[in-house]
Amino acid sequence: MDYDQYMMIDRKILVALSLWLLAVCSVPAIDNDECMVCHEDKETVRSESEGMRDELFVDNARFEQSVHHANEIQCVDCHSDIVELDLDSDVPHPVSLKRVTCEDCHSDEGEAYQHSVHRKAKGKGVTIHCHACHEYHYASHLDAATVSERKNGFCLKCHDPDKFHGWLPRKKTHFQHVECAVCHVHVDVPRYVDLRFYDNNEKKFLSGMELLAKLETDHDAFAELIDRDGDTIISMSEMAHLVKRIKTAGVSGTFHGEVLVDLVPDVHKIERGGASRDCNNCHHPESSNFDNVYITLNHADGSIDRHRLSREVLGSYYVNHFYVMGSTRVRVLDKIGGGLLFVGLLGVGFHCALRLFTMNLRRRLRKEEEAGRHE
Amino acid sequence: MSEEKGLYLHTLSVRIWHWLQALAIILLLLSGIRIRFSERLSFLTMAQAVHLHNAVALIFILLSVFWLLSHLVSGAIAGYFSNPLTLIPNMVKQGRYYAWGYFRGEPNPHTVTPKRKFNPLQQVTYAALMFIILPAQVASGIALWTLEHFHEHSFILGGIRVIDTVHVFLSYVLVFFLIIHGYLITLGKTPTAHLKAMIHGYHEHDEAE
Repeated sequence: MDYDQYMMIDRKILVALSLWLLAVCSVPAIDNDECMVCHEDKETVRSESEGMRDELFVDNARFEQSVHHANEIQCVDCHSDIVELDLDSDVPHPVSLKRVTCEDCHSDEGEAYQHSVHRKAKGKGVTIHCHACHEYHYASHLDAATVSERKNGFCLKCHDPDKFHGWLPRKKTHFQHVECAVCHVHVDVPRYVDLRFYDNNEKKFLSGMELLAKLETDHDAFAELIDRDGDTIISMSEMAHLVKRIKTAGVSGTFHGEVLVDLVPDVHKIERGGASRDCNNCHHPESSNFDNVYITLNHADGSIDRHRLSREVLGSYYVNHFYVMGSTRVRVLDKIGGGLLFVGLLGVGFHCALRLFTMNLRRRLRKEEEAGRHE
Repeated sequence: MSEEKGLYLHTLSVRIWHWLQALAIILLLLSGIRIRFSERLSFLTMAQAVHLHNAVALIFILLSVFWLLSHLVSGAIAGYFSNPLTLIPNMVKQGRYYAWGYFRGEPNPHTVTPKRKFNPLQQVTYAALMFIILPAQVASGIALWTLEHFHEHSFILGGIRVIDTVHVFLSYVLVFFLIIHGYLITLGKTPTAHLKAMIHGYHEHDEAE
Protein backbone atom coordinates (compact mmCIF):
# COMPACT_ATOMS: atom_id res chain seq x y z
CA MET A 1 0.00 0.00 0.00
CA ASP A 2 1.58 3.25 -1.08
CA TYR A 3 1.22 6.56 0.71
CA ASP A 4 -1.53 7.88 -1.58
CA GLN A 5 -3.66 4.76 -1.12
CA TYR A 6 -3.14 4.99 2.62
CA MET A 7 -4.22 8.63 2.66
CA MET A 8 -7.30 7.83 0.54
CA ILE A 9 -8.47 5.16 2.95
CA ASP A 10 -7.70 7.43 5.86
CA ARG A 11 -9.86 10.16 4.34
CA LYS A 12 -12.74 7.76 3.72
CA ILE A 13 -12.64 6.63 7.31
CA LEU A 14 -12.67 10.23 8.48
CA VAL A 15 -15.61 11.12 6.24
CA ALA A 16 -17.56 8.03 7.36
CA LEU A 17 -16.83 8.83 10.99
CA SER A 18 -17.95 12.42 10.52
CA LEU A 19 -21.19 11.38 8.86
CA TRP A 20 -21.88 8.90 11.66
CA LEU A 21 -21.28 11.54 14.30
CA LEU A 22 -23.49 13.96 12.42
CA ALA A 23 -26.20 11.36 12.16
CA VAL A 24 -25.99 10.50 15.84
CA CYS A 25 -26.09 14.15 16.84
CA SER A 26 -28.99 14.95 14.55
CA VAL A 27 -31.20 12.18 15.91
CA PRO A 28 -33.58 13.98 18.24
CA ALA A 29 -33.11 13.33 21.84
CA ILE A 30 -36.80 12.62 22.15
CA ASP A 31 -38.66 10.39 19.78
CA ASN A 32 -42.25 11.15 18.75
CA ASP A 33 -43.38 7.90 20.34
CA GLU A 34 -42.26 9.19 23.71
CA CYS A 35 -44.40 12.32 23.31
CA MET A 36 -47.36 10.24 22.23
CA VAL A 37 -47.26 8.23 25.43
CA CYS A 38 -49.11 11.16 26.98
CA HIS A 39 -50.37 13.20 24.06
CA GLU A 40 -52.17 10.37 22.34
CA ASP A 41 -54.28 10.03 25.45
CA LYS A 42 -57.46 12.09 25.32
CA GLU A 43 -57.51 12.17 29.09
CA THR A 44 -54.28 14.15 29.27
CA VAL A 45 -55.01 17.53 30.82
CA ARG A 46 -52.93 20.40 32.09
CA SER A 47 -51.91 20.22 35.69
CA GLU A 48 -51.45 23.96 35.56
CA SER A 49 -52.71 26.55 33.15
CA GLU A 50 -51.25 29.85 32.10
CA GLY A 51 -54.27 30.75 30.07
CA MET A 52 -53.75 28.27 27.27
CA ARG A 53 -56.85 26.32 26.47
CA ASP A 54 -55.67 24.26 23.54
CA GLU A 55 -56.06 20.54 23.73
CA LEU A 56 -53.04 18.48 24.62
CA PHE A 57 -54.37 15.53 22.69
CA VAL A 58 -52.72 14.81 19.35
CA ASP A 59 -54.42 12.42 16.96
CA ASN A 60 -51.38 10.45 15.89
CA ALA A 61 -53.20 8.80 13.00
CA ARG A 62 -53.97 12.23 11.53
CA PHE A 63 -50.50 13.52 12.33
CA GLU A 64 -49.04 10.64 10.37
CA GLN A 65 -51.01 11.88 7.34
CA SER A 66 -49.58 15.35 7.72
CA VAL A 67 -46.99 16.96 5.52
CA HIS A 68 -44.67 17.40 8.50
CA HIS A 69 -44.69 13.72 9.33
CA ALA A 70 -44.14 12.94 5.65
CA ASN A 71 -41.01 15.08 5.88
CA GLU A 72 -39.90 13.27 9.06
CA ILE A 73 -40.31 16.29 11.28
CA GLN A 74 -40.23 15.32 14.95
CA CYS A 75 -42.27 16.94 17.74
CA VAL A 76 -39.18 18.49 19.28
CA ASP A 77 -38.08 20.00 16.00
CA CYS A 78 -40.87 22.51 16.51
CA HIS A 79 -41.22 22.32 20.29
CA SER A 80 -37.52 22.92 20.46
CA ASP A 81 -37.26 24.04 24.05
CA ILE A 82 -37.72 20.46 25.17
CA VAL A 83 -34.29 18.99 24.69
CA GLU A 84 -34.34 16.23 27.25
CA LEU A 85 -37.20 14.35 28.76
CA ASP A 86 -36.98 11.66 31.35
CA LEU A 87 -40.37 10.05 31.46
CA ASP A 88 -39.87 9.20 35.12
CA SER A 89 -38.81 12.57 36.39
CA ASP A 90 -39.48 15.30 33.78
CA VAL A 91 -43.17 14.59 33.07
CA PRO A 92 -45.24 16.65 33.01
CA HIS A 93 -42.82 18.96 31.29
CA PRO A 94 -43.03 22.74 31.89
CA VAL A 95 -46.30 24.23 30.81
CA SER A 96 -44.74 27.35 29.39
CA LEU A 97 -43.26 26.01 26.23
CA LYS A 98 -41.97 28.54 23.79
CA ARG A 99 -44.44 29.37 20.99
CA VAL A 100 -43.66 27.43 17.87
CA THR A 101 -42.28 29.74 15.22
CA CYS A 102 -43.15 28.33 11.83
CA GLU A 103 -41.03 31.04 10.18
CA ASP A 104 -37.89 29.23 11.35
CA CYS A 105 -38.47 26.83 8.49
CA HIS A 106 -41.06 28.68 6.39
CA SER A 107 -39.18 31.95 6.19
CA ASP A 108 -40.54 33.13 2.84
CA GLU A 109 -44.10 32.44 3.92
CA GLY A 110 -43.42 34.23 7.20
CA GLU A 111 -42.03 37.27 5.38
CA ALA A 112 -45.05 37.42 3.06
CA TYR A 113 -47.39 37.10 6.03
CA GLN A 114 -45.79 40.12 7.70
CA HIS A 115 -47.39 42.28 5.01
CA SER A 116 -50.82 40.70 5.13
CA VAL A 117 -54.02 42.10 6.56
CA HIS A 118 -54.15 39.09 8.86
CA ARG A 119 -50.81 39.97 10.44
CA LYS A 120 -51.75 43.64 10.66
CA ALA A 121 -54.86 42.70 12.62
CA LYS A 122 -52.48 42.43 15.54
CA GLY A 123 -52.57 46.21 15.71
CA LYS A 124 -56.23 45.88 16.62
CA GLY A 125 -55.50 43.34 19.31
CA VAL A 126 -56.24 40.27 17.20
CA THR A 127 -53.39 37.82 16.83
CA ILE A 128 -53.78 35.30 14.05
CA HIS A 129 -51.13 32.64 14.24
CA CYS A 130 -50.26 30.30 11.41
CA HIS A 131 -52.11 27.47 13.07
CA ALA A 132 -55.37 29.43 13.05
CA CYS A 133 -55.58 28.52 9.37
CA HIS A 134 -53.18 25.60 9.06
CA GLU A 135 -54.02 23.63 12.21
CA TYR A 136 -51.39 22.62 14.70
CA HIS A 137 -50.40 19.14 13.82
CA TYR A 138 -52.34 18.14 10.75
CA ALA A 139 -51.14 20.51 8.03
CA SER A 140 -51.45 18.57 4.81
CA HIS A 141 -50.53 18.92 1.16
CA LEU A 142 -52.93 21.34 -0.47
CA ASP A 143 -51.80 21.06 -4.06
CA ALA A 144 -54.56 18.58 -4.88
CA ALA A 145 -57.12 20.33 -2.68
CA THR A 146 -60.25 21.60 -4.39
CA VAL A 147 -61.69 25.10 -4.14
CA SER A 148 -64.14 23.81 -1.59
CA GLU A 149 -61.45 22.16 0.51
CA ARG A 150 -59.20 25.21 0.34
CA LYS A 151 -61.84 27.77 1.27
CA ASN A 152 -63.62 25.62 3.85
CA GLY A 153 -60.35 24.77 5.51
CA PHE A 154 -59.15 28.35 5.59
CA CYS A 155 -61.12 31.46 4.70
CA LEU A 156 -64.56 30.24 5.79
CA LYS A 157 -63.33 29.53 9.28
CA CYS A 158 -63.66 33.25 9.91
CA HIS A 159 -65.26 34.89 6.89
CA ASP A 160 -68.79 34.69 5.55
CA PRO A 161 -68.49 35.60 1.86
CA ASP A 162 -72.27 36.01 1.51
CA LYS A 163 -72.09 39.12 3.69
CA PHE A 164 -69.99 40.81 1.05
CA HIS A 165 -69.64 40.52 -2.72
CA GLY A 166 -73.04 42.09 -3.34
CA TRP A 167 -71.65 43.60 -6.54
CA LEU A 168 -70.54 40.22 -7.88
CA PRO A 169 -72.86 38.52 -10.37
CA ARG A 170 -73.24 34.78 -9.90
CA LYS A 171 -71.83 34.79 -6.40
CA LYS A 172 -72.49 31.11 -5.82
CA THR A 173 -70.87 30.08 -9.09
CA HIS A 174 -67.79 32.12 -8.27
CA PHE A 175 -67.61 30.72 -4.74
CA GLN A 176 -67.98 27.17 -6.07
CA HIS A 177 -65.36 27.34 -8.78
CA VAL A 178 -62.94 30.13 -7.94
CA GLU A 179 -60.64 30.04 -4.95
CA CYS A 180 -60.96 33.16 -2.77
CA ALA A 181 -57.28 33.95 -3.24
CA VAL A 182 -57.71 34.25 -7.03
CA CYS A 183 -59.19 37.71 -6.48
CA HIS A 184 -57.72 38.44 -3.05
CA VAL A 185 -53.98 37.95 -3.53
CA HIS A 186 -51.53 39.99 -5.50
CA VAL A 187 -51.76 39.74 -9.28
CA ASP A 188 -48.21 38.36 -9.48
CA VAL A 189 -49.20 35.10 -7.81
CA PRO A 190 -49.74 32.61 -10.64
CA ARG A 191 -53.26 31.30 -11.18
CA TYR A 192 -54.20 28.10 -12.95
CA VAL A 193 -57.18 26.01 -13.94
CA ASP A 194 -57.51 22.53 -12.53
CA LEU A 195 -59.79 20.14 -14.37
CA ARG A 196 -61.68 17.69 -12.20
CA PHE A 197 -63.63 14.73 -13.46
CA TYR A 198 -67.25 14.41 -12.40
CA ASP A 199 -68.67 10.88 -12.50
CA ASN A 200 -72.32 11.06 -13.53
CA ASN A 201 -73.07 7.58 -12.21
CA GLU A 202 -71.49 7.99 -8.81
CA LYS A 203 -72.63 11.63 -8.72
CA LYS A 204 -69.36 12.89 -7.31
CA PHE A 205 -66.00 14.27 -8.34
CA LEU A 206 -63.36 11.58 -8.62
CA SER A 207 -60.02 12.09 -6.94
CA GLY A 208 -56.99 11.47 -9.11
CA MET A 209 -56.50 8.03 -7.62
CA GLU A 210 -60.15 7.13 -8.16
CA LEU A 211 -59.94 8.22 -11.79
CA LEU A 212 -56.83 6.10 -12.31
CA ALA A 213 -58.60 3.14 -10.73
CA LYS A 214 -61.53 3.56 -13.13
CA LEU A 215 -59.12 3.60 -16.05
CA GLU A 216 -57.28 0.60 -14.58
CA THR A 217 -53.96 2.38 -14.80
CA ASP A 218 -51.42 4.07 -12.55
CA HIS A 219 -49.67 7.41 -12.42
CA ASP A 220 -46.81 6.49 -14.74
CA ALA A 221 -48.99 4.73 -17.28
CA PHE A 222 -51.50 7.61 -17.22
CA ALA A 223 -48.82 10.06 -18.34
CA GLU A 224 -47.99 7.82 -21.29
CA LEU A 225 -51.67 7.23 -21.95
CA ILE A 226 -52.57 10.88 -22.44
CA ASP A 227 -49.34 12.57 -23.51
CA ARG A 228 -48.94 10.45 -26.60
CA ASP A 229 -46.35 12.61 -28.31
CA GLY A 230 -44.35 13.04 -25.11
CA ASP A 231 -44.14 16.84 -25.35
CA THR A 232 -45.44 17.22 -21.75
CA ILE A 233 -48.51 19.18 -22.93
CA ILE A 234 -51.87 17.55 -23.54
CA SER A 235 -53.08 18.86 -26.87
CA MET A 236 -56.66 19.02 -28.09
CA SER A 237 -56.32 15.70 -29.94
CA GLU A 238 -54.73 14.06 -26.89
CA MET A 239 -57.60 15.37 -24.75
CA ALA A 240 -60.02 13.86 -27.28
CA HIS A 241 -58.21 10.56 -26.88
CA LEU A 242 -58.43 10.76 -23.09
CA VAL A 243 -62.16 11.48 -23.20
CA LYS A 244 -62.63 8.54 -25.57
CA ARG A 245 -60.54 6.32 -23.28
CA ILE A 246 -62.71 7.30 -20.31
CA LYS A 247 -65.86 6.46 -22.26
CA THR A 248 -64.36 3.14 -23.36
CA ALA A 249 -63.76 2.33 -19.70
CA GLY A 250 -67.51 2.66 -19.17
CA VAL A 251 -67.26 5.84 -17.12
CA SER A 252 -69.89 8.46 -17.76
CA GLY A 253 -68.94 11.98 -16.83
CA THR A 254 -67.11 15.09 -17.86
CA PHE A 255 -64.48 17.54 -16.78
CA HIS A 256 -65.30 20.54 -14.63
CA GLY A 257 -62.81 23.30 -14.01
CA GLU A 258 -61.73 25.30 -11.00
CA VAL A 259 -59.58 28.42 -10.86
CA LEU A 260 -56.90 28.21 -8.18
CA VAL A 261 -53.72 29.95 -7.12
CA ASP A 262 -50.27 28.41 -7.04
CA LEU A 263 -49.26 27.80 -3.45
CA VAL A 264 -46.26 30.09 -3.51
CA PRO A 265 -45.27 31.98 -0.33
CA ASP A 266 -46.92 35.19 -1.55
CA VAL A 267 -50.39 33.67 -1.20
CA HIS A 268 -50.01 34.64 2.46
CA LYS A 269 -49.78 38.33 1.53
CA ILE A 270 -53.46 39.21 1.42
CA GLU A 271 -53.64 42.96 1.75
CA ARG A 272 -56.49 45.13 2.92
CA GLY A 273 -58.21 46.65 -0.11
CA GLY A 274 -56.06 44.54 -2.38
CA ALA A 275 -58.85 42.40 -3.77
CA SER A 276 -59.41 42.87 -7.45
CA ARG A 277 -62.83 43.76 -8.84
CA ASP A 278 -61.63 43.75 -12.40
CA CYS A 279 -63.69 41.03 -14.08
CA ASN A 280 -61.35 41.19 -17.07
CA ASN A 281 -58.73 39.39 -14.99
CA CYS A 282 -60.64 36.26 -15.92
CA HIS A 283 -63.35 37.29 -18.38
CA HIS A 284 -60.95 38.13 -21.14
CA PRO A 285 -59.80 35.82 -23.93
CA GLU A 286 -56.16 36.59 -23.20
CA SER A 287 -56.39 36.27 -19.43
CA SER A 288 -53.16 34.82 -18.06
CA ASN A 289 -55.20 32.97 -15.45
CA PHE A 290 -55.93 30.36 -18.09
CA ASP A 291 -52.42 29.97 -19.45
CA ASN A 292 -51.83 27.05 -17.13
CA VAL A 293 -54.37 24.27 -17.26
CA TYR A 294 -53.81 21.01 -15.41
CA ILE A 295 -55.27 17.68 -14.55
CA THR A 296 -54.01 17.03 -11.03
CA LEU A 297 -53.73 13.48 -9.76
CA ASN A 298 -53.05 12.87 -6.09
CA HIS A 299 -50.93 10.13 -4.54
CA ALA A 300 -51.82 8.36 -1.31
CA ASP A 301 -49.38 10.52 0.65
CA GLY A 302 -50.98 13.73 -0.61
CA SER A 303 -48.31 14.54 -3.15
CA ILE A 304 -49.41 15.12 -6.72
CA ASP A 305 -48.72 14.65 -10.39
CA ARG A 306 -49.78 17.51 -12.61
CA HIS A 307 -50.46 17.01 -16.28
CA ARG A 308 -50.45 20.22 -18.24
CA LEU A 309 -52.99 20.81 -20.99
CA SER A 310 -53.03 23.16 -23.91
CA ARG A 311 -55.10 26.27 -23.18
CA GLU A 312 -57.27 25.70 -26.24
CA VAL A 313 -58.77 22.65 -24.51
CA LEU A 314 -60.72 25.08 -22.30
CA GLY A 315 -62.57 26.38 -25.35
CA SER A 316 -63.58 22.92 -26.49
CA TYR A 317 -66.57 20.70 -25.90
CA TYR A 318 -64.33 18.25 -24.02
CA VAL A 319 -64.56 20.62 -21.05
CA ASN A 320 -68.31 21.08 -21.08
CA HIS A 321 -68.73 22.24 -17.53
CA PHE A 322 -66.19 25.01 -17.40
CA TYR A 323 -67.24 28.10 -19.25
CA VAL A 324 -65.96 31.56 -18.43
CA MET A 325 -67.96 34.20 -20.27
CA GLY A 326 -65.85 36.17 -22.68
CA SER A 327 -62.83 34.03 -22.04
CA THR A 328 -63.25 30.39 -22.97
CA ARG A 329 -65.87 30.90 -25.63
CA VAL A 330 -66.17 28.64 -28.66
CA ARG A 331 -64.58 30.76 -31.39
CA VAL A 332 -66.00 28.76 -34.27
CA LEU A 333 -69.50 29.65 -33.10
CA ASP A 334 -68.77 33.33 -33.67
CA LYS A 335 -67.46 32.53 -37.14
CA ILE A 336 -70.68 30.68 -37.99
CA GLY A 337 -72.77 33.51 -36.51
CA GLY A 338 -70.72 36.12 -38.35
CA GLY A 339 -71.25 34.17 -41.57
CA LEU A 340 -75.00 34.12 -40.97
CA LEU A 341 -75.09 37.89 -40.47
CA PHE A 342 -72.93 38.40 -43.53
CA VAL A 343 -75.38 36.37 -45.62
CA GLY A 344 -78.27 38.43 -44.19
CA LEU A 345 -76.58 41.74 -44.99
CA LEU A 346 -75.53 40.50 -48.41
CA GLY A 347 -79.11 39.45 -49.20
CA VAL A 348 -80.49 42.79 -48.02
CA GLY A 349 -77.82 44.70 -49.93
CA PHE A 350 -78.47 42.71 -53.09
CA HIS A 351 -82.25 43.20 -52.86
CA CYS A 352 -81.81 46.89 -52.10
CA ALA A 353 -79.48 47.34 -55.08
CA LEU A 354 -81.95 45.59 -57.40
CA ARG A 355 -84.72 47.72 -55.95
CA LEU A 356 -82.83 50.90 -56.81
CA PHE A 357 -81.75 49.53 -60.18
CA THR A 358 -85.34 48.66 -61.17
CA MET A 359 -86.92 51.83 -59.79
CA ASN A 360 -87.34 53.40 -63.25
CA LEU A 361 -88.69 50.15 -64.65
CA ARG A 362 -91.40 50.07 -61.95
CA ARG A 363 -92.29 53.75 -62.60
CA ARG A 364 -92.56 53.10 -66.32
CA LEU A 365 -94.68 49.98 -65.84
CA ARG A 366 -96.93 51.85 -63.39
CA LYS A 367 -97.42 54.73 -65.84
CA GLU A 368 -98.20 52.28 -68.63
CA GLU A 369 -100.72 50.56 -66.36
CA GLU A 370 -102.33 53.89 -65.38
CA ALA A 371 -102.43 54.90 -69.04
CA GLY A 372 -104.08 51.58 -69.86
CA ARG A 373 -106.71 52.20 -67.17
CA HIS A 374 -107.54 55.66 -68.56
CA GLU A 375 -107.91 54.25 -72.03
CA MET B 1 -110.94 58.87 -40.28
CA SER B 2 -109.94 55.24 -40.69
CA GLU B 3 -110.65 55.59 -44.40
CA GLU B 4 -108.07 58.36 -44.58
CA LYS B 5 -105.49 56.59 -42.49
CA GLY B 6 -106.08 53.08 -43.82
CA LEU B 7 -106.91 49.85 -42.07
CA TYR B 8 -106.65 49.82 -38.25
CA LEU B 9 -104.39 46.80 -37.96
CA HIS B 10 -102.29 47.00 -34.81
CA THR B 11 -104.11 47.57 -31.52
CA LEU B 12 -102.56 49.76 -28.85
CA SER B 13 -101.60 46.79 -26.69
CA VAL B 14 -99.89 45.06 -29.63
CA ARG B 15 -97.97 48.22 -30.49
CA ILE B 16 -96.83 48.78 -26.90
CA TRP B 17 -95.87 45.11 -26.60
CA HIS B 18 -93.99 45.22 -29.92
CA TRP B 19 -91.86 48.22 -29.06
CA LEU B 20 -91.15 47.10 -25.51
CA GLN B 21 -90.17 43.67 -26.80
CA ALA B 22 -87.99 45.28 -29.48
CA LEU B 23 -86.29 47.47 -26.87
CA ALA B 24 -85.76 44.46 -24.61
CA ILE B 25 -84.24 42.41 -27.45
CA ILE B 26 -81.90 45.25 -28.40
CA LEU B 27 -80.77 45.70 -24.79
CA LEU B 28 -80.32 41.95 -24.42
CA LEU B 29 -78.26 41.81 -27.60
CA LEU B 30 -76.12 44.80 -26.63
CA SER B 31 -75.44 43.53 -23.11
CA GLY B 32 -74.90 40.01 -24.47
CA ILE B 33 -72.38 41.26 -27.02
CA ARG B 34 -70.64 43.22 -24.25
CA ILE B 35 -70.41 40.08 -22.14
CA ARG B 36 -69.17 37.86 -24.95
CA PHE B 37 -66.66 40.25 -26.49
CA SER B 38 -65.31 41.74 -23.29
CA GLU B 39 -61.87 42.26 -24.81
CA ARG B 40 -63.23 44.64 -27.45
CA LEU B 41 -66.09 46.42 -25.69
CA SER B 42 -66.12 48.41 -22.50
CA PHE B 43 -69.31 50.48 -22.54
CA LEU B 44 -70.40 48.72 -19.34
CA THR B 45 -68.42 46.78 -16.76
CA MET B 46 -68.84 43.04 -16.96
CA ALA B 47 -70.83 43.05 -13.72
CA GLN B 48 -73.14 45.83 -14.97
CA ALA B 49 -73.64 44.05 -18.28
CA VAL B 50 -74.58 40.79 -16.53
CA HIS B 51 -76.97 42.54 -14.14
CA LEU B 52 -78.58 44.45 -17.03
CA HIS B 53 -78.86 41.30 -19.13
CA ASN B 54 -80.56 39.41 -16.30
CA ALA B 55 -82.95 42.26 -15.43
CA VAL B 56 -84.00 42.85 -19.03
CA ALA B 57 -84.35 39.09 -19.56
CA LEU B 58 -86.90 39.02 -16.77
CA ILE B 59 -88.87 41.85 -18.41
CA PHE B 60 -88.61 40.03 -21.74
CA ILE B 61 -90.06 36.86 -20.20
CA LEU B 62 -92.96 38.82 -18.66
CA LEU B 63 -93.66 40.49 -22.02
CA SER B 64 -93.61 37.10 -23.74
CA VAL B 65 -96.06 35.69 -21.21
CA PHE B 66 -98.31 38.72 -21.79
CA TRP B 67 -98.13 38.19 -25.55
CA LEU B 68 -99.00 34.51 -25.27
CA LEU B 69 -101.95 35.03 -22.91
CA SER B 70 -103.39 37.99 -24.83
CA HIS B 71 -103.10 36.15 -28.15
CA LEU B 72 -104.70 33.03 -26.68
CA VAL B 73 -107.58 34.99 -25.16
CA SER B 74 -108.22 37.11 -28.24
CA GLY B 75 -107.76 34.23 -30.67
CA ALA B 76 -105.16 36.26 -32.57
CA ILE B 77 -102.79 33.35 -32.20
CA ALA B 78 -104.62 31.72 -35.13
CA GLY B 79 -103.03 34.33 -37.39
CA TYR B 80 -99.72 32.49 -36.99
CA PHE B 81 -101.06 29.28 -38.51
CA SER B 82 -102.76 28.37 -41.76
CA ASN B 83 -103.77 25.36 -43.81
CA PRO B 84 -100.58 23.34 -44.30
CA LEU B 85 -101.80 22.19 -47.74
CA THR B 86 -101.94 25.73 -49.12
CA LEU B 87 -99.09 27.12 -47.05
CA ILE B 88 -96.19 25.92 -49.18
CA PRO B 89 -97.66 27.02 -52.57
CA ASN B 90 -98.50 30.37 -51.00
CA MET B 91 -94.98 30.68 -49.59
CA VAL B 92 -93.55 30.01 -53.04
CA LYS B 93 -95.88 32.62 -54.50
CA GLN B 94 -94.85 35.17 -51.85
CA GLY B 95 -91.18 34.32 -52.31
CA ARG B 96 -91.48 34.79 -56.04
CA TYR B 97 -93.02 38.20 -55.41
CA TYR B 98 -90.07 39.36 -53.26
CA ALA B 99 -87.48 37.88 -55.64
CA TRP B 100 -89.04 38.90 -58.95
CA GLY B 101 -92.50 40.47 -58.98
CA TYR B 102 -91.63 43.30 -56.62
CA PHE B 103 -89.01 44.63 -59.03
CA ARG B 104 -91.56 44.64 -61.86
CA GLY B 105 -94.16 46.47 -59.81
CA GLU B 106 -96.45 43.46 -59.59
CA PRO B 107 -99.14 43.50 -56.88
CA ASN B 108 -98.39 41.86 -53.53
CA PRO B 109 -100.15 38.45 -53.64
CA HIS B 110 -101.12 38.83 -49.98
CA THR B 111 -103.89 41.19 -48.93
CA VAL B 112 -103.63 42.35 -45.33
CA THR B 113 -106.71 42.05 -43.11
CA PRO B 114 -106.95 42.20 -39.30
CA LYS B 115 -107.32 38.41 -39.24
CA ARG B 116 -104.61 37.78 -41.88
CA LYS B 117 -101.95 40.26 -40.92
CA PHE B 118 -99.08 38.10 -42.06
CA ASN B 119 -98.24 36.87 -45.51
CA PRO B 120 -97.29 33.16 -45.72
CA LEU B 121 -93.55 33.84 -45.34
CA GLN B 122 -94.17 36.13 -42.38
CA GLN B 123 -96.48 33.55 -40.89
CA VAL B 124 -93.83 30.82 -40.95
CA THR B 125 -91.08 33.19 -39.81
CA TYR B 126 -93.07 34.64 -36.90
CA ALA B 127 -94.38 31.22 -35.88
CA ALA B 128 -90.80 29.90 -35.79
CA LEU B 129 -89.73 33.00 -33.89
CA MET B 130 -92.51 33.04 -31.31
CA PHE B 131 -92.96 29.30 -30.77
CA ILE B 132 -89.47 27.86 -31.31
CA ILE B 133 -86.62 30.38 -31.32
CA LEU B 134 -87.67 32.72 -28.51
CA PRO B 135 -88.89 29.93 -26.19
CA ALA B 136 -85.61 28.05 -26.78
CA GLN B 137 -83.72 31.28 -26.15
CA VAL B 138 -85.65 31.90 -22.94
CA ALA B 139 -85.19 28.28 -21.82
CA SER B 140 -81.44 28.30 -22.47
CA GLY B 141 -81.17 31.71 -20.79
CA ILE B 142 -83.04 30.50 -17.71
CA ALA B 143 -80.82 27.40 -17.63
CA LEU B 144 -77.69 29.57 -17.71
CA TRP B 145 -79.20 31.97 -15.19
CA THR B 146 -80.08 29.31 -12.65
CA LEU B 147 -77.24 26.95 -13.40
CA GLU B 148 -75.46 27.61 -10.14
CA HIS B 149 -78.28 25.85 -8.34
CA PHE B 150 -77.92 22.60 -10.27
CA HIS B 151 -74.40 22.92 -11.60
CA GLU B 152 -73.39 19.36 -10.85
CA HIS B 153 -76.44 18.03 -12.70
CA SER B 154 -76.16 20.31 -15.73
CA PHE B 155 -74.86 17.36 -17.75
CA ILE B 156 -78.53 16.46 -18.26
CA LEU B 157 -78.70 19.40 -20.66
CA GLY B 158 -75.30 18.61 -22.17
CA GLY B 159 -73.27 20.90 -19.96
CA ILE B 160 -72.81 24.65 -19.67
CA ARG B 161 -71.01 24.93 -22.96
CA VAL B 162 -73.78 23.22 -24.90
CA ILE B 163 -76.45 25.40 -23.27
CA ASP B 164 -74.37 28.48 -23.99
CA THR B 165 -73.87 27.39 -27.60
CA VAL B 166 -77.64 27.18 -28.09
CA HIS B 167 -78.11 30.59 -26.45
CA VAL B 168 -75.42 32.32 -28.48
CA PHE B 169 -76.37 30.70 -31.78
CA LEU B 170 -80.01 31.73 -31.34
CA SER B 171 -78.79 35.26 -30.58
CA TYR B 172 -77.09 35.32 -33.96
CA VAL B 173 -80.34 34.04 -35.53
CA LEU B 174 -82.20 36.88 -33.81
CA VAL B 175 -79.78 39.46 -35.17
CA PHE B 176 -80.21 37.87 -38.60
CA PHE B 177 -83.98 38.22 -38.16
CA LEU B 178 -83.62 41.88 -37.14
CA ILE B 179 -81.58 42.63 -40.27
CA ILE B 180 -84.14 41.01 -42.56
CA HIS B 181 -87.11 42.39 -40.59
CA GLY B 182 -85.62 45.89 -40.59
CA TYR B 183 -85.26 45.76 -44.35
CA LEU B 184 -88.57 44.12 -45.22
CA ILE B 185 -90.58 46.75 -43.34
CA THR B 186 -89.35 49.24 -45.94
CA LEU B 187 -91.17 47.34 -48.69
CA GLY B 188 -94.56 48.91 -47.94
CA LYS B 189 -96.44 51.53 -49.91
CA THR B 190 -93.69 53.91 -48.88
CA PRO B 191 -90.39 52.95 -47.17
CA THR B 192 -91.74 54.11 -43.79
CA ALA B 193 -95.36 52.95 -44.16
CA HIS B 194 -94.99 49.73 -42.12
CA LEU B 195 -92.92 51.48 -39.47
CA LYS B 196 -95.56 54.19 -39.07
CA ALA B 197 -98.28 51.53 -38.95
CA MET B 198 -96.63 50.05 -35.89
CA ILE B 199 -96.67 53.52 -34.31
CA HIS B 200 -100.22 54.74 -35.03
CA GLY B 201 -101.80 51.38 -35.81
CA TYR B 202 -103.12 52.13 -39.32
CA HIS B 203 -101.96 50.09 -42.26
CA GLU B 204 -101.74 51.87 -45.61
CA HIS B 205 -102.76 49.43 -48.29
CA ASP B 206 -100.43 48.98 -51.15
CA GLU B 207 -102.04 50.37 -54.27
CA ALA B 208 -102.49 46.85 -55.50
CA GLU B 209 -104.15 45.63 -52.30
